[in-house]
Amino acid sequence: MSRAPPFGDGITLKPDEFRLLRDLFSARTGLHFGPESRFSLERRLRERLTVLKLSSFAQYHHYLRFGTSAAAEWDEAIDLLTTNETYLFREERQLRAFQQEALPLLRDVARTRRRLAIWSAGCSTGEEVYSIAVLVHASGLFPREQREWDVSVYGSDISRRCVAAARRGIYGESSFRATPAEMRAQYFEKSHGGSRVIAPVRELCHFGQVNLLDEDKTRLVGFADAIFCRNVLIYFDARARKSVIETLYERLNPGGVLLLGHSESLLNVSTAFELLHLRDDLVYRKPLSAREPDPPPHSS
Amino acid sequence: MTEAAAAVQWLLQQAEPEARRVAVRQIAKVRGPEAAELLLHALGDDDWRVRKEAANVAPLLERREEVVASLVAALSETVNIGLRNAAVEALVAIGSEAVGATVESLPRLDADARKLAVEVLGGVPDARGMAALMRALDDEDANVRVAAAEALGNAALAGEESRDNATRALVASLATRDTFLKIAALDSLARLEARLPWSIFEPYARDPLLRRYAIAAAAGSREPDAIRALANATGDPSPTIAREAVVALGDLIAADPEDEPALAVARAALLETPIGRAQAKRAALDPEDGRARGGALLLLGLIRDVAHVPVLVEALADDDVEERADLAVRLFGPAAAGPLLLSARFAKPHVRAAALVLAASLEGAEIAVVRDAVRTALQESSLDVVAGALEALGSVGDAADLRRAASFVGHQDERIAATATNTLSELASRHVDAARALLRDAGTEDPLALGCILLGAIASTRSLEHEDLRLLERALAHADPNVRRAAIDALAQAGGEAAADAVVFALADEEHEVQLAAVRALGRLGRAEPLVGIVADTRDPVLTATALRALGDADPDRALSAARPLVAHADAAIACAAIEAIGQLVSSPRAAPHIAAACEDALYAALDHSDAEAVKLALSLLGSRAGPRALARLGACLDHASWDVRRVAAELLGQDKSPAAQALLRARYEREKDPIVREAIAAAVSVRPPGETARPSERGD
Repeated sequence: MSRAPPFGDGITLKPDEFRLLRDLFSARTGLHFGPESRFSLERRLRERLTVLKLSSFAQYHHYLRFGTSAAAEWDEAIDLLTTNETYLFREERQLRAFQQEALPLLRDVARTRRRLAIWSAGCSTGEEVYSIAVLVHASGLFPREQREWDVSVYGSDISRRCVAAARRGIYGESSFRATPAEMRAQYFEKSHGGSRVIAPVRELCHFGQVNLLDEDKTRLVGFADAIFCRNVLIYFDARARKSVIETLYERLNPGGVLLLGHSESLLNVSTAFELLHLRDDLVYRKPLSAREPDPPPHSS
Repeated sequence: MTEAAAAVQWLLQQAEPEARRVAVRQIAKVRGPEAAELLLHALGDDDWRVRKEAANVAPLLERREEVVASLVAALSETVNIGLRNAAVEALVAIGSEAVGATVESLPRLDADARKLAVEVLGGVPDARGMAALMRALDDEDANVRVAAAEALGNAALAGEESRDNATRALVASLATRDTFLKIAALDSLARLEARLPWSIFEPYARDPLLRRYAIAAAAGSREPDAIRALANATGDPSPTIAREAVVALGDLIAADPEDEPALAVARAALLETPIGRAQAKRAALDPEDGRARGGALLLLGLIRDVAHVPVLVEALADDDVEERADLAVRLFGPAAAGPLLLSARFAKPHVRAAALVLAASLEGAEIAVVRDAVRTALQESSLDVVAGALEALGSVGDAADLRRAASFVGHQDERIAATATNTLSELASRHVDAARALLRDAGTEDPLALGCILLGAIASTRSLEHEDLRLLERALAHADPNVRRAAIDALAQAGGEAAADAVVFALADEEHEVQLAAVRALGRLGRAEPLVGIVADTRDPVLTATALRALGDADPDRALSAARPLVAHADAAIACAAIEAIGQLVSSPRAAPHIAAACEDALYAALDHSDAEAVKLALSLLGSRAGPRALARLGACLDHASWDVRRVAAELLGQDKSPAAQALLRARYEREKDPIVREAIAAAVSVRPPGETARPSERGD
C-alpha cells in the first residue's frame, strides 16, 4: 500500500522545480535567485505547501500560475521571499546630505510648481519614508501652513504585508537604533505597541503596493523630485535592474535625484543620469536639460 | 430477430429494474421492425422508471410511422394500464409527427382510448391537434369532452390563432348542461388568461358548483363589476369559494397596487362585506395557507382598519408573506404608522426593526411620533432593532440626530457601523450647518473618520473648502482602510482635479476594497488613463470589472475599446466583466449612437463564448431587442447546449410577441426535453401550466 504524499514538511525543491519557480518569480517580480538560493527558497516556501495542502513544488508553481487564488498567493510568496529588515535613519550620513544639500537644490528646481514629491521605491515597512518625511519637515524649506508647498512622500513596496505595516507606522525599540535622541523626542510619540511619527509628519506620507516592474503601477506615483531606491536593486537580475532604472528615470522630474544604497551603482546599467557630488555623498541626477515629462498620464 | 435486438430483448427480461432501464437506452440502436416491438415491451414494463425511460427513447427510433402506429394502437390496451399511459407520454415526446395518426385514430378508438388520444393532442403544440380537440368538445362521451376542454388550456402553445379559437370554443361550451365540462372550460379559460367581459362569467358565479371556477377565471378582468363580485365572494358561505376570492382579489391588487380606481372599488365593496372582512382576517392569520394569507393581508391593508394592524405586524415576521405584509402596510397608508409602532413594541427584534423602517417610509405619517419611537429604539440592546432604528433615522431624523448617528459610526458590529454611516450621510446632506458644527466638535474622536463621512455628504450639496480637501487627503493615509475608502468616496463626491490627483495613488493601496473605491472614484472623476492600466491587468476579475465600469463613466469610447477584446477572454470571469461593462455602456442614456451600435455588436459576439454564464449574461443584457438579427441569435440560443441558456433565450423571446418569435418558441417546445425549459417556453407563450398531476407513465403503478 502506497503512502499518501506528505504536505509541506519533508518535501524538497528539486532542481527542475527550482528553475521553474526561479523563472516565474523573476518574470513577475524581477527578484533574482542564484543557484545558491535553492535551499533558501525551499525553506521559505515550504510552509505554503503545507497551508495549500500541496505535495510538490511543481504543484505550487502550477498554483501560482493558474490557481483560483493565485493573486493572493503571490502576495504570500512575495512576503516570504523579500527581506524586510531595516530601521529609521538608516545610512544617516546619506540622509543628512540629502537634507542639507539636495533639498535646497530641489527647492529651487520646484519653486514654480511648489510641489515636492519624494518616492521611496521599495520602502519595506516604512522606516525610510518616515525618516525622509521628518528630514523634509525639519528642514523648514517647504512650509505647508498656508498651503505654500504641497509635499508628499510616497512609499511603495511589492509586499502587501510590508505596506500595511508601513501604514501603521508603529515601531519598536530596535527600529530607533540609529535615530538621534533629540530627533526621536521631537518627532515621535508613544503609541500602542511602540512609537510612531507625529501627525503633522505622518500626514505627508502615502503608501502603496507597487511592483517596480509594473509600469502602470509605477505611474500612479506621478512625477517625483527625489527617488530613494536603496538596497533594492541588489535583489534584481540584470534585466529587471535595467528596467527598474529606466522606470525611475522616467518618473523623475528634470533636476530630480536618485539615491541608491551605498553598495549599489548604475555602472553598466544606465548612462542617462549625471552624477551630482555632494559633500558627503554622490547621487544621480536627471539632467535639467532632459525633456520635461509629459503631463501626468492620469490627468485627463 | 437481429443479434442486437435479441440482446436488448434478453436484457429487458432481467429481474433487476435498473438493468432493464439501462437496456431501454439500447433500443435506439436497434434497426428494423423489432425496435417498435421492444419499445412497446419496455413501455409495458412493471417498473415506472423503465416505462419513463422508454417514453424518452421513443423519439429517437427510426421508422417513425411504424412506431407511432404501434403507440396509437397501444392506446386501446385494456389490461396493461401502465403501457397505455406510457404510450401517451411517448407520443407526446415524439411531437407533431404523432399528431396526424392520433387525429385519424379518433373515430376508430373507444371512449377510453379517445380520452387518451385527447391527452396526447393536448400535450403537443400543434394547430391540427387543437382543431381536433375543439371538435372533441362535442364528443359523444362526457369524459372525452371534459378531457378536450382541459387540453385546450394549452392551446396558446400552438399559436395565437389556436388560442383565440380555443377561447371561443370553450366559451361556447359553457352553454352545455354538463357541469364537469363547464368546470373544465372555466379552468382552461383561466389558464389561457382569456380577457373576457365579466358578463360571461357572471351567470356561473351564481351557480354554487361553478362559482369557484368562475371567480378564478374572472380574476384577469379588472372591470369594476368583476372586482365587486370578487370582493363580495370573500364573504361566501363556502370556505373554498371565499378563499378563491381572497386569493384572486389579492392577486388583482398585487398586479397593480397603484391602480387607485380599482383599489377604491375593491375597498368600497369590502367595507360592505363584514363577513368577507372577517374571512380575510382569519385567512391573514393562517400560516398553513400562504397563498390565501398573502391575499388576505392585502385586503386588510386596503380596508384600513386599525384593529388589523397587529395582524399585519405578525405577518411581517413570516418570510413567506413578509413582502405582502409590507405592501399591505403601504396600502394602509400613513395612518398605519402609529398603530404599527405600537403593535411592534413586543414583537421579535427583526419585526420591530422592520416596523421602524416601514413606519419611517410612510409618506405623510406623523413624523414626530415615528422619530420618538426611532430614538427610543436606538437605546435597545438588540442589534437588529438598533440597525432598523438607524436606517429609519435617516428618513425622519433632524439636525439633533447627527450626533446620535455619529456615535454608532465606529460600532464594532459592521452592519450597525455601515448603517450609521449611511444615516449620518443622509442627515448631513440635509443639515449642513449642523454637520459642520459636529465636525468642529469632533474632539478626541478620530476627526478623519467622521470628517470623511460628513464632508462626503456636504460635498453632495455644495462645494468643499480648501481645508476640507486637506482633511480628506490626510485621511487617505489613515491606517484604517475604511477611513481611506470613505475619504476616496468623499473626494469623488467633491470632484475636481485636486481630488482626482489625490485619489490616483490609492489604486496602489494594499487593500482590495480601497483599490476598488479608488477605481470607482476615478470613473466618477473622469480620469480614464489609470483605469486603462488596471483593465489591461486581467489577473483580478473583480478589479477588471470595476475598472471597466468606471472607465465607462470616465470615457465610454476607451471603455468600449478596452472591453471589446475581453469579451472573448478564455477566463469566463473576465469575459463576464467585459460583457457587463459593455451592457452598462449600451444602456447609458448618454451613449452616442455609434457606441451603442458597437456595444450591441460586442454583446452579440459574446453569445459565441464557450462559457454558458457569459452567454447568459450577454443574453440578459441584449434583452428583448426587436429585429431579425436579434430574433435569429435568440433563436440560435434556444438550441444552446446549456439548458440555462435555452431558458433565458425562451424568456427573452417571450417578451417579443411577434409571430416569428412565437413560432420559434413553439418549434423548440416540441423538441425540448428539459422540463424547466419547457415550462419557460410555456410561460413565454402565455400558457399557465396546469396544476401538478402525476405523469401518465407513473399512474399505472
